[in-house]
Amino acid sequence: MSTLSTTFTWQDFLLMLQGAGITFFLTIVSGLFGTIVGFFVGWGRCLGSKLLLYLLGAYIEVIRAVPLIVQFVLFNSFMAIAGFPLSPFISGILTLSIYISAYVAEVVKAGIESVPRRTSMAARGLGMTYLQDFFHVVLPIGTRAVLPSWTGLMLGLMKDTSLIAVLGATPPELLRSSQIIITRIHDPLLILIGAGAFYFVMCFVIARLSGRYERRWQREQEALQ
Amino acid sequence: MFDYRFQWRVVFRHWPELLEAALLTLQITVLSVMIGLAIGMVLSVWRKSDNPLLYWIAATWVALARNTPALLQIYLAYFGLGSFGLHLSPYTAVLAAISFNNAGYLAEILRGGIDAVNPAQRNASLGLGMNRLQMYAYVIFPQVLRAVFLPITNQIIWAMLGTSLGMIIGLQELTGMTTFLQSQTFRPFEFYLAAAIIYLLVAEIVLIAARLTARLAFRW
Amino acid sequence: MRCADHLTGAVALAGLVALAQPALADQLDDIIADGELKCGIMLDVPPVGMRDDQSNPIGFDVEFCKDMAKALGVEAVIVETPAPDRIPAILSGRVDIGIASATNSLERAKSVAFSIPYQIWDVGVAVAAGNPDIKSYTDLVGKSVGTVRGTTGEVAFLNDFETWEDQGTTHISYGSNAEQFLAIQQGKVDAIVESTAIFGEYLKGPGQGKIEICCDYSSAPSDWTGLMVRRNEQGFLNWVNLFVWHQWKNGRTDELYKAWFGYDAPEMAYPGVHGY
Repeated sequence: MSTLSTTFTWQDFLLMLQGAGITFFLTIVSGLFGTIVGFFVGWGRCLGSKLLLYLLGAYIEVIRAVPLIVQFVLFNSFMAIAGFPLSPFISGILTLSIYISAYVAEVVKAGIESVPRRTSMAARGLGMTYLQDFFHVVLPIGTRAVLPSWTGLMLGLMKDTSLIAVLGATPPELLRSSQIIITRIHDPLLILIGAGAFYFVMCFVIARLSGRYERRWQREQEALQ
Repeated sequence: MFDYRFQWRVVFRHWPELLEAALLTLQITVLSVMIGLAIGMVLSVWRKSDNPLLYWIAATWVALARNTPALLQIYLAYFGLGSFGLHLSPYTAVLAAISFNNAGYLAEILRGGIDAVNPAQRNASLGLGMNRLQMYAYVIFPQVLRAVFLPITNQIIWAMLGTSLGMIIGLQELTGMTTFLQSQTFRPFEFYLAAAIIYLLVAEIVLIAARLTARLAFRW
Repeated sequence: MRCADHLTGAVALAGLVALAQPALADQLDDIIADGELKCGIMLDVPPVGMRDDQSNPIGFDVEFCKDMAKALGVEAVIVETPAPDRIPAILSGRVDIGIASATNSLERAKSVAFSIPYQIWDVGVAVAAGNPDIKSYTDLVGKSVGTVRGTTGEVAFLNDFETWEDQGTTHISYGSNAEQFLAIQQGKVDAIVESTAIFGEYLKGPGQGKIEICCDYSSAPSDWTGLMVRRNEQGFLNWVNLFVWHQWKNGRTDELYKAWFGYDAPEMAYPGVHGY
């Protein structure tokens, strides 16, 4: 008890910094899984099968209509009672991946739709198979069209990782480390504003960088045309 | 596979509380979208403004709303303003924070829509003797709202999800009520599953209402 | 390429058929054989569970876990389980025992098994320092009151709130103590109802001179909390009960009370009731 300081210490700052690192890690890992799953879900909706369309549509709709906090608890307790207990960190990553995959699927669908039908038809007319057309024509064009939306999703995901705090996953990400400090020093306002500044800097910098990159890409595109 | 017996009776026993909480969620969702849309329209116009102050206000609002966690925004609306002696009730604070957040995102969505409207129409409307307000109200926004209807419905759903964060500062909305009931019964899976289904229904109701409104407003 | 429009339609979640399996091994044997006792503890409830400034878990419940592990002759493993994860962690065996100051209500005991009480808490009322209006629990009529969602203090208060609501009392249910304490400091609520042990910890630190305990909540039953194990682990539960009994008997519980709550342990007997 003697080591229980009630002021903000250097150690606390390091804890928050580590938390920011975990936030990044969670974003990248679940962003990657979510994008892979979301890609197939989005693609599956464009294959023309009515059953697939209905099932995947329901998947997307359910995931997007339930708050992430509820999903975390539900998935975690479902795995527990199903006899596959996962550490909160792992179950958190899986929940985040499933959650973001529904949004990625919508973006993928929009990307595929953004490619004019006659472009695909031309490709098929040149003798390309469906897969050749998809990977060499539709995908490259579609990706450029929806890259900004995808970046937006990943930024949203970074902020959403904070809700994993509800499971108390260790190592703690940024919001959870803030809560740990708040529990000790009882100054929620100050700590949360600090945490907010961390998020703001991370999101803002990435948004700016990707914005610049997209603009450059756009200029190159225009120069080509 | 399972060593677990589901107990649904306890959920049905608390049905009235869940329903009441769901109505609160619905109410804040609808109000925050209406307020957010109104402010978002103004902000999107200001971002096109030549006045540097108006531009700065709009740009800052959008950047802050989009780049900080909604939980923090709710916290600041309740405790942040509270430290300056301005006390909002949990209901008002959550409504204000979600509206603030909505306005930022919607402004960005609407800006994209405004960009898509042919600039010649602006000159045409002004040439017809309309003032700028009339131009936006009668020419620009009806087209914009139609063009970005899908992103707006996404934002509506997001607003509904965002209300769940209000439980931290004492709003007894659906997630807050679910948390309370599970703490009393120790049946997290049953109650959170019930909450998930109710959220799904609330989302459907809001989306259907939005589509009907749009149909009436734009005569689709 | 064209895709069909966004589908509208809810999905019916199919219920899964449960295949009950008989319990094979006794949990007590497993714990001893594995050489570790995994305790599920809430680490955001000072002074029973919290982290020091090196982020190590400390608190009444943490020490209780270490005592138990010592008595079993195994290693103590502290697993943080926030409120929504408490029960899943126990049911799935991710933790062996929940040491989380959980009130032993009959409703909850339908889901997990409770040991005999290991802590008895008093519920109290605190106000901003120097508040002249509130001198007793019944003075809360017409005032605004803050509690923490799902706590015993809240449940006890809600009983009276049903009648007081018509007399102008308002109630706000916060997410955690951090918000509750901030709310009373900012004057958002006139009083907060909470376990006095939790007040005590706060008053020692940042709450010093800002809030004060005004009155005991004598009309409410005190808060009897038990350790939690899986409902079908009767063998383990027997051992746990005996362990808790020894903690009271050999004075260890009293020591922990003094160290973490700052006062003597009460007598573990309910007036006029046989047994615990």
